Amino acid sequence: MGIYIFRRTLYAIALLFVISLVVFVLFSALPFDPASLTCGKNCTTEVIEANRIRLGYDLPMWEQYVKFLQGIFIGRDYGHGVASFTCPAPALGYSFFRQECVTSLLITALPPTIWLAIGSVTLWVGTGILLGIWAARRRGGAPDHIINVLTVFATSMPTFLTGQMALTFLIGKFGWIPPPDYYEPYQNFPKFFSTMFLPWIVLALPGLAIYARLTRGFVLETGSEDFVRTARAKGLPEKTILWRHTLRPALSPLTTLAALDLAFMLGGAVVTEKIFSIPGLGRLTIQSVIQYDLPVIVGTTILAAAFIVVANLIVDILYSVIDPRVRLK
Amino acid sequence: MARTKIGAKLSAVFAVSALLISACGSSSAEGSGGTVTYLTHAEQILHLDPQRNYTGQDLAFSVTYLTRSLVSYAPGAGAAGTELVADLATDIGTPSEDLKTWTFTLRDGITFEDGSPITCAEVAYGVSRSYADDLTDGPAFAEAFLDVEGGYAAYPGPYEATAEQQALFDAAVECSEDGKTITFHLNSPMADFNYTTALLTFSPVPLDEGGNVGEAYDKNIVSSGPYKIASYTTGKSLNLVRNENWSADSDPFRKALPDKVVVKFAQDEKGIDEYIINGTGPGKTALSLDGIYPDNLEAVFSSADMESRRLNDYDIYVTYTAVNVAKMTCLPIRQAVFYATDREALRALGGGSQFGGDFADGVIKPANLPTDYKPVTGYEDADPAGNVVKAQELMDQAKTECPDEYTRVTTKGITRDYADGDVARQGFAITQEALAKVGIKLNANFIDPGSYYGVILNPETQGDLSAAGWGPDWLNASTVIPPLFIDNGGFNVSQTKADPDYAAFAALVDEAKANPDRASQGAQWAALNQYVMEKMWVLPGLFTKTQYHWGSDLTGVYLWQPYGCPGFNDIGVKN
Amino acid sequence: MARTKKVDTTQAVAGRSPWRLGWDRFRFNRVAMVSLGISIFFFLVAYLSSPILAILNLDPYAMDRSAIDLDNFNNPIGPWGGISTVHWLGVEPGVGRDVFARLIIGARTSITIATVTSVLSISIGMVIGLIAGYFKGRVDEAIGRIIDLLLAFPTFFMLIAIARPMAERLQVALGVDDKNIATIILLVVLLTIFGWAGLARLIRSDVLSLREREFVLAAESLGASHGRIIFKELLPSLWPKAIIFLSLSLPGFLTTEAALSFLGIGIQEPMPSWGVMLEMAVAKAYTVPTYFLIPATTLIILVTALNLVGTGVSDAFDPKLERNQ
Repeated sequence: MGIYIFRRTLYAIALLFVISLVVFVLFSALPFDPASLTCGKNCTTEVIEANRIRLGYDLPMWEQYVKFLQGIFIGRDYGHGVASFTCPAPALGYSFFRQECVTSLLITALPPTIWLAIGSVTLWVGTGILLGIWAARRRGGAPDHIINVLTVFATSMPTFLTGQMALTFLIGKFGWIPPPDYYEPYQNFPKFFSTMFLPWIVLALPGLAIYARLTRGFVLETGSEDFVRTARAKGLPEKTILWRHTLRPALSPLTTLAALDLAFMLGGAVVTEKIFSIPGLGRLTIQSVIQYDLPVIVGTTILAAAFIVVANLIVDILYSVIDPRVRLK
Repeated sequence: MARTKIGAKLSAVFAVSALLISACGSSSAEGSGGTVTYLTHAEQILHLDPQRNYTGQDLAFSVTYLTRSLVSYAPGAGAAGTELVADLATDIGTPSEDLKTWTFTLRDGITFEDGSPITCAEVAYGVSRSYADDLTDGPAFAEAFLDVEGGYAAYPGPYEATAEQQALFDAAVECSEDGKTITFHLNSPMADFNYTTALLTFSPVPLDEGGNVGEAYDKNIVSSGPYKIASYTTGKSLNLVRNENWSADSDPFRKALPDKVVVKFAQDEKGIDEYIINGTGPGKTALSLDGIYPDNLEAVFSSADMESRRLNDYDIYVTYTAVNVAKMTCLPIRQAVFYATDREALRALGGGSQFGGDFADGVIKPANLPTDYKPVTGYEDADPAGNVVKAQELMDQAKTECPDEYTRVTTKGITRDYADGDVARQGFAITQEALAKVGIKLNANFIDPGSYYGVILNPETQGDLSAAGWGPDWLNASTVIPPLFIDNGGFNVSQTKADPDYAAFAALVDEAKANPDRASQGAQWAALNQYVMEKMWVLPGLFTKTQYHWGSDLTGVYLWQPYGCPGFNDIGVKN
Repeated sequence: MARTKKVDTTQAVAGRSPWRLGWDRFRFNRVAMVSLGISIFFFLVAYLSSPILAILNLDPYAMDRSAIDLDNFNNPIGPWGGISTVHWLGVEPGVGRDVFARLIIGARTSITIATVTSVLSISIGMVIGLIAGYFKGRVDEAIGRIIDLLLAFPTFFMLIAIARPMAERLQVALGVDDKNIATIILLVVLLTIFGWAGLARLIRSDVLSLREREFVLAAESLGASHGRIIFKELLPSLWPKAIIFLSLSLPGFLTTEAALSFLGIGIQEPMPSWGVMLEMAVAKAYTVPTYFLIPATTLIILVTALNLVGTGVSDAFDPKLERNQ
């Protein structure tokens, strides 16, 4: 048990390490010159060169990577003489465009993304499962058909379209919902809720359909298993059969899926955050891409990958606890 | 100043013709107290650090609330807002007879937010920061004008300078024993150096930079104005509260009306307009720093309710297409491109005559440089919708005069640099079709706005034509003609040095620069503007306009001409 | 959605391929058939767009100055975005190009990217999944690691971050005038790189279990070559999964392409694509809503149709479902 967890954790760390290397090399190899990007006045070749040294892009790539790794563990220094400053560990770099350490930018951008992710994942998993159960129980009936059509339709509405349409028509043209803005939930919960409501729904729609469909499948599948038949034969009420027997086996794959989805969402919902001006990781990424703010792009990408790796790790460990056979693999 | 916020709304000034009608009266007692909110889609104010701040609106904001300079423009609507007044200094500067030395005397009772006095040392220290490589983006006027031996290359700024290097700077910027007088030694005569000192480059910074040295100072500047930073979070907000150590007695013009000033960042562009138009959220007491979303312009300017809380006027900018003379060597072809261009359709894209502006005839804008402007002659037949006949004549002429260039332009084609964006892409489609009528093949290089100037300022990466815009740093064409057309002037996107007549032109520019008589100097600039157009070093675009709107509870909003944006000084909340 | 009708099973129990079985089930799914019809119609219009436009004498790049109002932001003249007998779906605000022409030429761009990407990622996913599952051991281990790595990458992030700067470099490397050609190639390559791993993992686990089945073991003991076992024994049982994956990934890639262009990262003006049209339309959504709604509706119709075909296909080819009906 302990050995399995240890090995699995080591593997996750190694994976993260490789990801950081790939991301770093990939972005360093991209054909843009960060030195000339932050060069405003007097943009001569000498200034660009000085800038390159200031930003550390004059070093060979491996040395840049070593410095980057060092930054994660011991922090990193920037600037000259008395004007030098430190980004404390874990430092993922410094954004000369925003004049802030990447780590602190990520920390500021994280809460909105977390609220967005938690809200929409809860919404889509919860509603999805309920709809799925309903559809399965009325199999072949009107609810089943309606849910079926609705779920296909919801999957087919790309987030960027639903979001943009909601923004343009619900908020803009008719003014039914307040314009996008971000409030901390513990500061002003009603405003937080009223501004996050639409993004949650928009983001939840496609996922909702998937969960409804999966749940329906699970319920139908286990519904025909012998143990459920036995339960039914025993004369147990349908409700008990559904919650005790039919749903329980479906729970663990659904939870796994939800955990992974949540991890994915924590990396930032780029489109939704951009459309609804939510100052989270996704918006930070897209803006950094537009500004070619390299250190921030590297930072957000690695963080998003880390969420996925860690979620996988947790799921695997939980599985190994539930099902000892996994450890033997 | 270069247009650093490409695509964002530009700032604006009053047209001369609009001066009489547009006095926006607000008595000084009215509007005091309360909170004024500014809304913007930007993530932060580009720079608050005085030595790095170089964007019209950011300068005006900082000057009004946080950073005092030696001299300043008296805030006010119209021409009144362009008058130079003493700020930290007791007068607007005294030049020596040869115009190579300028002296300013500092007021009594001027302090930073912590109560420590502002002396010559802090001003000199601020100026010296302008040399530091660590601090990017600000204007380079100190380096350009101060008589530091060896210049920018010899003095690395205060952070790294050795004692000898520091001595070089100290020789150029001298402090009197009592710290009350500061003397600038210039490397060439300048009649209007005191206008330069209105830029925040010449603002004081505490010697310890308030504990946030260099890069970190930008977010933590030590205020010398009536407000100070209470909190500043990128992507969220900037909150200003009153600076208890500022006294109105030491300040000739700042009104400091509201108790609090809030800038909310990362706002949705359309959301800002909704707040303001409908008076919801913070909208009643808010002003949009981004102007009006183009899709809303029509609605805002046709609404009777908005009549008293909107403005639409000329800003300080001229847009143009810089012609890379090193590549476009044939004058008739340059002129043919100009004649063939459908400027009317291009202007309509940006809002037409009502919101876009007037067709420019050069790079000097009559609205803000009336002294230096004279209508350019010789292009009366340039129809805004394109004069294909004339353009074809010029192309035929080019066929014999410069056949190689003619072949290149009609087969391989020429490339125009664009700062990428929807309007730019549509503009390209329009121009491409217009030029094709006379056989010129146009290609586009869409460059990301962030790296745009880096690309076009590098002759190796620049195309044949480059979209550009310029606004004067102060109200003298000496901040237009030399930077745009003199080699190393700062923004010579036209690569004029490649023109055989460049030397003659440069001599005329030097002559105009050294002319202490403003009126005759104006005539010289007008003549040089005519020269530039005859050479077709630029294809003129628009004398642009800008639009702003604000909430119903704000008072005292007008355009501050030198910065081409709202004059923050008089903005207050209705009592 | 309509359920699979009971197929007359008495008729030919003997020797029907999984293809035939699937198709028979699919054929009786009315919703899926209608959706298939719609999808085929879209594909046809997209790939016949050039002749169609030639017949109608329309040009997606030509500006109609008479259809836009120069005194009003170049907005289309007339209601509904300037819909008229000449311009069936109106004209673009700004430059007055025909929306119908741009829509069907744009369809070609968008559909091509989605189709090529789907086919490529499925081929690669199948091959690699087969290799991993068949050879097991070290090979499987190595491939498993690569799949882990790829699946851990935030795909959309990577696409956004890499696509634009890489397109510039690729354009230089290929020496093409139009950056969009480089962008299209790049999008296909990047979407494929991040797209095959999911299917490969599914195929791998299928192959692992298939390998232990009698018919494979029999073929092995008879001394069949690796190639024979892979292509003759394993592959036929895997096709249904690939078809299901194809029918579901096609609309997925279509939306991804549109979303990227919408964010200003994919295809760019003046080349039309649905994402580009939507991106341009957003800025005009208040004053010319039709210009936004037309490409939006078209995209939603096609994606819905493809998704319905997809569910139809998985209903038809997934043998498990029959039990539940």
